[in-house]
Amino acid sequence: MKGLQQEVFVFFHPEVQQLLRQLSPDGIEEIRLRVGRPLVVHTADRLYTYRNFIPSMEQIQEILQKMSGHSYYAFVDEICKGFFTVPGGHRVGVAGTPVLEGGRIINMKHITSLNVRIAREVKDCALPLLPYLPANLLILSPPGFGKTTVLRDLARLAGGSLKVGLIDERGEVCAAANGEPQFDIGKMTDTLHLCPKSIGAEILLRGASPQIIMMDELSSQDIPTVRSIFSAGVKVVATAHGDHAADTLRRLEMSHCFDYAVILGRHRIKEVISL
Amino acid sequence: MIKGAGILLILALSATLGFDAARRLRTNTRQLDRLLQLLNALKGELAFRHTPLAVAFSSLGERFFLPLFERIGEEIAAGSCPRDAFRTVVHQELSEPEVYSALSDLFGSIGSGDLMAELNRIDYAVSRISVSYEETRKKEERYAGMCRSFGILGGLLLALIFV
Repeated sequence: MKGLQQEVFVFFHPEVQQLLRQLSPDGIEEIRLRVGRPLVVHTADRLYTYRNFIPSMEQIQEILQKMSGHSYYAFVDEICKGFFTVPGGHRVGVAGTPVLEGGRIINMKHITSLNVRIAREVKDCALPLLPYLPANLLILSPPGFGKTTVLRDLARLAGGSLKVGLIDERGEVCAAANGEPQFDIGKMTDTLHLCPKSIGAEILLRGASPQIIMMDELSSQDIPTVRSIFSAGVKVVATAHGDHAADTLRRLEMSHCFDYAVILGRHRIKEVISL
Repeated sequence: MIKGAGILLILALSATLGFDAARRLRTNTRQLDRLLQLLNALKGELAFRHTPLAVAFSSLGERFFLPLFERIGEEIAAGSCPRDAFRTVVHQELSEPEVYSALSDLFGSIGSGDLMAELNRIDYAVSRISVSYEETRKKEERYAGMCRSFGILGGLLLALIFV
């Protein structure tokens, strides 16, 4: 992994780079740019507002071009979903005016906001979960509490002794750059990068004979996929938004599917509940 | 003996000049042919693999023996926009002004639109370069043989005059 300087700061105006360099790179969690409003940087314990840098529409467009490697077409599908991932695994959320065709977003025009979420590798943060494997685990927390970080480390740890299939739909878990994972995701982990879960599960079940399939950010749309994995006798480790196991499982209509729910506190495992 | 050597030297020199002129015509045609192949392959890379421009130019430049594109790919990977990368790598106009103009226009806009827009841009550049390719190919057909013949015959004429 390169430093934040090469991976993220480099996209910004020299003036902004100077501001960001003054902060501790380990502390930065989010960098938010909005047209006509000041630059905001979130760290673990503070929020910095820089009123002397107010980006224009052109500047946002220029940053977006740089982030996409001057290849906007390669990211349109992801941008239509509201985010894309830059090398290093950092997720860039976008907001603007969606272009609709037949009720489906086909492009995003007038992009007015960029939110860069810094990805981090925290080795051994999932060590307490290793004794539970192989089992069906659901990792729960509100956004920004480190679900992806825990899943990534669990893939690395489990991938040392078990055959793991990882469906990295958003490209955040392994942070592949030109197909090569930038994070350590385990010796025996097969990854499908930027692949929808429904398709990825089928590919992995047929081709990789995994013992565990891992996936990030489960939603109610993914229920049939998860059920098909269960019915194939393969364990599932997934993350989902939520802070209460019973409520989340009810929302996902998966009350009796998982063996354990892992509740995260801010960047730590709060408790493991047997379901 | 010396006279014979002189005649041979004159013949060799003039034939070399003729063959060199023919080779230059052939090289121009081949370069444009490779350029068209590269642009068509670029369309495939973009349409079916969504390959970012830096990677696409680097790999296609290597595959089609066009180092200019490899360097453009490296420049884009280093953070330049395609227009600046093209200007940095191509310092002077190419031998075919229309080809330079087509490439300059392509690099001036590529990378900023969606897939359909990019493919249309490449198609437009291909159609413009194809016109130049046809002209160059006709020029080669018409003049390459002539250059070779003139080289040999001119040498013979000179040799006869001097003898």
